[in-house]
Amino acid sequence: MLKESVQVPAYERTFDIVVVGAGLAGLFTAALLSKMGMRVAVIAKGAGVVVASTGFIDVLRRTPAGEPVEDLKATLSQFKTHWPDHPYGRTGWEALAAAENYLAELLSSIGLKYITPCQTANTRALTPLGTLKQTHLLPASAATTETLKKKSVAVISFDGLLDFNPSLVQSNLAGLFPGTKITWALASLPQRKGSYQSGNVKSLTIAREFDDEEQREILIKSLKEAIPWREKPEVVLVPAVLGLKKHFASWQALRKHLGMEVFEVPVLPPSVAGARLFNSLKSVLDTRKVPVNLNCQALSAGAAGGEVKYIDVASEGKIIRYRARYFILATGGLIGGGLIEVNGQLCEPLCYSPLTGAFRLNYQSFVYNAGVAVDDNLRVQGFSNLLACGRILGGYNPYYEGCGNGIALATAMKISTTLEGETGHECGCYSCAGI
Amino acid sequence: MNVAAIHAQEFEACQKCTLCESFCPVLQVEPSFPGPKMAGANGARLVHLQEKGPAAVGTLDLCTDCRTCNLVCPSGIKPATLILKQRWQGRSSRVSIIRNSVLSRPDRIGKIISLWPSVVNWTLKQKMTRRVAERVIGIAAARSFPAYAPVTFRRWYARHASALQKQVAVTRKVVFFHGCYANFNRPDLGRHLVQVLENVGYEVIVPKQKCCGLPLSLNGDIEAARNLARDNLECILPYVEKGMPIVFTCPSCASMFKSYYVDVFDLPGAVEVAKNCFDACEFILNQIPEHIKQNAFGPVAMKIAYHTPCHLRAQGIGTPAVELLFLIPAIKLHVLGNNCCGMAGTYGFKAEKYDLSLKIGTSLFQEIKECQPDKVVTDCGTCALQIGENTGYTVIHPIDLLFQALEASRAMVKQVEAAR
Ligand SMILES: Cc1cc2nc3c(=O)[nH]c(=O)nc-3n(C[C@H](O)[C@H](O)[C@H](O)COP(=O)(O)OP(=O)(O)OC[C@H]3O[C@@H](n4cnc5c(N)ncnc54)[C@H](O)[C@@H]3O)c2cc1C
Ligand code: SF4
Ligand code: SF4
Repeated sequence: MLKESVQVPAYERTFDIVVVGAGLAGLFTAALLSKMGMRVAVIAKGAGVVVASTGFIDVLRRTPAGEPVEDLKATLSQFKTHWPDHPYGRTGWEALAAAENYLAELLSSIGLKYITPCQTANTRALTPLGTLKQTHLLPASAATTETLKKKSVAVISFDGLLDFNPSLVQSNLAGLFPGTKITWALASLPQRKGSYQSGNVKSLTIAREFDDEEQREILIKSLKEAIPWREKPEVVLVPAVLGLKKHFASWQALRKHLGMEVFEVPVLPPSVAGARLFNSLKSVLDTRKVPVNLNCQALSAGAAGGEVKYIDVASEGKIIRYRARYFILATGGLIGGGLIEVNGQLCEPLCYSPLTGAFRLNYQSFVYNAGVAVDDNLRVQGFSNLLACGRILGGYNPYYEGCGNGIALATAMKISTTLEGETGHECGCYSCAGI
Repeated sequence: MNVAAIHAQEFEACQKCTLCESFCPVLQVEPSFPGPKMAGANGARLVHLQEKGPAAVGTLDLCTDCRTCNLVCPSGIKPATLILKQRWQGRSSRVSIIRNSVLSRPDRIGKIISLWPSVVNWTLKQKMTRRVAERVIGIAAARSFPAYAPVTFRRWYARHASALQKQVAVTRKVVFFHGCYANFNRPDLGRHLVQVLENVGYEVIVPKQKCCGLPLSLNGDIEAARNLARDNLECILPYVEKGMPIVFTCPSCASMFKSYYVDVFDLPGAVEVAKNCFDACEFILNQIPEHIKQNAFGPVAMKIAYHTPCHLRAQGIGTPAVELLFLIPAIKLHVLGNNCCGMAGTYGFKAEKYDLSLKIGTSLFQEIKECQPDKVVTDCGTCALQIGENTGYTVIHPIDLLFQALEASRAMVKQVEAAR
């Protein structure tokens, strides 16, 4: 529901940079720019889709032409010549690699460990259904083909957990790893009141229990009892519920108690791993003093001569005007609300940015590489101080190419390069006095 | 007008993305709660289609109305409001009437208690009283009631206003909606705000007011809540028409005025008033450049853990208290992760929800204990009660700290002058 947009703002706020959107692209851009000393604010009407995702950073499953990807570095380096209008054509391999490194560094600084098993090639990791998908940067606890090359693997879930089906995972894995003995079992959840028995426990509920040391012990004990020891498993796979806030500690404790390797398989949304990633980025921004203001729907932009002067934002009951030298459009696609469909036509409703690419959705085909048109520095065409990153960009199809989070990171990194040399304003005015 | 009516456009756009579920604090600890997607968007659809009340009001009551789901939904759905509307529609009289009148009208109860606060405070502390309260009216025995102050804020203000010798010429006027908490339980907080504002030449006006109506609407009596809202708007609107802003120290009251009076109660004057409502820190941060300029605050050498109340986050103004507190020299500020404390106004007082309320708050309490601050700061009175009770820390309002920082700055100025 769009609120009335012709309202006088109650007051103005001034920053160096205003990022619109709190998805992976927006939050990561804010992290990069705040590191450069800029006064950044993030405003968003809701959370980004990364929360519902596996938390994996998929960078490229296949090229726009449908070719499989062997050497990531080599393939991405060719984008500039083959697909110059693809976001990767503008960022190249270097921006992606740098972005992934920096993300891993940020996350590990607050205790969430992410790894890139192989720098220049994709890793195949387990999906919630027990199939494999190609990804690049992922939680250290995630199960990959490498971690499963064993004689015997046990898949253990909790009885009553909704979002994970261990028998499905087992049968799919058995097809994929014919040389491995794969078994599955259910651990019982400690009895409590409520509907634990009726099979609707949420993965987040168990994750929260793992955060608590006492309850963690109980859960670990019941997992241990469920393991089919006769099969001599060398690796145990569990749904990704090992802690929300205390993930690393939970994972380590389980490994220690079982005396063997344990890996997580992502669950269907709501996804614990996605929430971990989002929460971690949010807390990095908290420590950097970057406000992340939710329930802030950007209604309209005030632009003159190709320069965005301000963005009017609806908070509860009133309009607040955000001014900045640069605005970052990280409003996502159709799902995030960055693009909307009006009479069958796509539209970017905030700045009415020019669009590129095609959008066609029917039973035969799913073409969706439409989005905002930008120049090589990710400036939105026709604007001098409006840049775009993430799913809002045109020229790629994240679903077909398998590159959603990779593009979000690489384009955020590219924006920080474009704005390199810009410094935070230090005039001593009240808006910069805090830094 | 049927306030509880649900319209198709309120749930239609739900794309089942489950983002709301990812963040719902109740769903994370209570498996029998259907959660915002199922109870909010889906439930509303069912009610709308069948044109009859929902079946499971009991489980809907588990919603704390923290509005986190409203906040994170990318499709503009407000599951919390949809749950509340279903609760209004399906309200049965199962719940204790006495309890609801105790918990729903903090203004009335406060008025009675304030006649004899020391006796009541003593009585409320007695184990016996609490056990009787749990048995008879269903208020958790383990819960301590907030202490009632010997002199209410309004009484202090009446004296203050008549004795006020204006040190600084009045240049601007502002209206203070103190709500029940600052009036009965923390009049010193009200005093601090008045002084912080008077310092820079504001005259603070305290008009007649009633309870904002949030407790009543959460406990089911929507008509009575709406009447309170109407009375409040009648008192406040004339000031707004004169161009005066309204400030709140209580985020829940503020959010009522800014959002529910407009979107749900749909009352005349609500839109105009909402446009002029400010959280106290929001007001200072954005309207009082004198306080924000460098060196306005003196040093407060303390380690502070700040908790963001749900109803503050819901306002879409970020966390102005954090931005202000960062301006205080020597302060060490730790912003706690976004976790509901579990109190949710009157929710945590109820015997049947007491355990759940603590369970929701556990990870917050744990983070506070790990942080080992000197004090905890939060804007909301009931959050403060919950955190204080479960961590043993003193919990204050950001305005208390700002007041302290301004005092420190004045002391410094005096020192410099004396040295000359
Ligand atoms: C269910 C799902 C699972 C996925 N899983 C994976 C995966 O496993 N691996 C992978 O690599 N990729 C995955 N993807 C793709 C990938 O997550 C996205 O492409 C990427 O995260 C996009 O991020 P973004 O920040 O650009 O947009 P979004 O995450 O969509 O964020 C958009 C933000 O903008 C805000 N916004 C929009 N309009 C406004 C406005 N007017 N005012 C204020 N704020 C506004 C929104 O509230 C939101 O905060 C998945 C996508 C989906 C939908
Ligand atoms: S209510 Fe909103 S957040 Fe929840 S599932 Fe529906 S669209 Fe997603
Ligand atoms: S208001 Fe809070 S408790 Fe209620 S459904 Fe929404 S997130 Fe859950």
